[in-house]
Amino acid sequence: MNSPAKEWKQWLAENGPRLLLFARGWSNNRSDAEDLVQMAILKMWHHQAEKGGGPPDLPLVFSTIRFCGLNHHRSETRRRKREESVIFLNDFKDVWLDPLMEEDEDALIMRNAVEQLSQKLREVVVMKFWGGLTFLQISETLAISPNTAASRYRYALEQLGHELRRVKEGRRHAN
Amino acid sequence: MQTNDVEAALARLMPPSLSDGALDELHSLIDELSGSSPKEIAVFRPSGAWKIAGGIAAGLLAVAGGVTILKQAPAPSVSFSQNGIIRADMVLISESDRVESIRDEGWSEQADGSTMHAVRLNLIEENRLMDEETGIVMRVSEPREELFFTPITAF
Repeated sequence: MNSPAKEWKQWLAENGPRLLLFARGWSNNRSDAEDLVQMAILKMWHHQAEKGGGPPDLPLVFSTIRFCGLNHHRSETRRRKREESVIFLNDFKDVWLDPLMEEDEDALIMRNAVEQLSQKLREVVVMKFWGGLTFLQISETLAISPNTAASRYRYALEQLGHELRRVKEGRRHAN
Repeated sequence: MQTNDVEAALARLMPPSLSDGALDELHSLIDELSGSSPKEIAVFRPSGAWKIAGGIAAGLLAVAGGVTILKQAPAPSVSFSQNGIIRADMVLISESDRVESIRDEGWSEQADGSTMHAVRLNLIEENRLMDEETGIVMRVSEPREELFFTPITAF
């Protein structure tokens, strides 16, 4: 039988990238997202201690990351108000998703399009597509109905399809 | 564009892994939380300086402190070597046992029905030790309290 630490590490190796991607929606950069994942893992550990100590279900972790993200966002907003003179620079290499193949034009367009989605739509896409959650699990995580979760997913795909078409046509005209 | 086409394009993207630094931190966190962290057991091996400080501290405590604390003055710690063996090179150069105060506790009835006169004594035993290796002299004080009973034979 595996030790709890070993089980958690295996679970983390399997799910870490999914959690990081979801956390990106609640943070300004990769580093903040990793902090969110860490916060969530810590909370989950204590939560799971009462349930045998094994790794948690993925929907619960998504929900916890969202909760941590909301808290972080609130404190970040307060901090920004205090530091209005500071200019935040984008890290252009700090991407949310990696294409499986280099030079995959459609994938790169899609990556940008996913980042441009509204938060409500993006988190459903992330949980459904890369998290592998059902609409029921997503609905429980976001406290919405399963129908709403499914509608958001469909609407997000429509937007992504539209964006992919728009960019490709724009490039075709440019050539 | 069909939904399937969009999903096919999404499938060509994958979430990046956690950075090595973040993963290391998470693993450390898990180890700490599970209590399986290979913590070093801190073994205190007093150096010469610590032994001196210990002796001086014990001495100062004995001089300045009250009975309750001073009863626990860790005087023996000065005689341990680095490997925990009692050292033989600590030389006792003087010892004294002095009475600090006497208090008359009055009569006291014993369990057998006899009556005794009780006197409470506060005493301090003080030893001076020299470390032959360094030549440093340490004063170790140990206060104690004793109650003397004297039978009452005449009224």
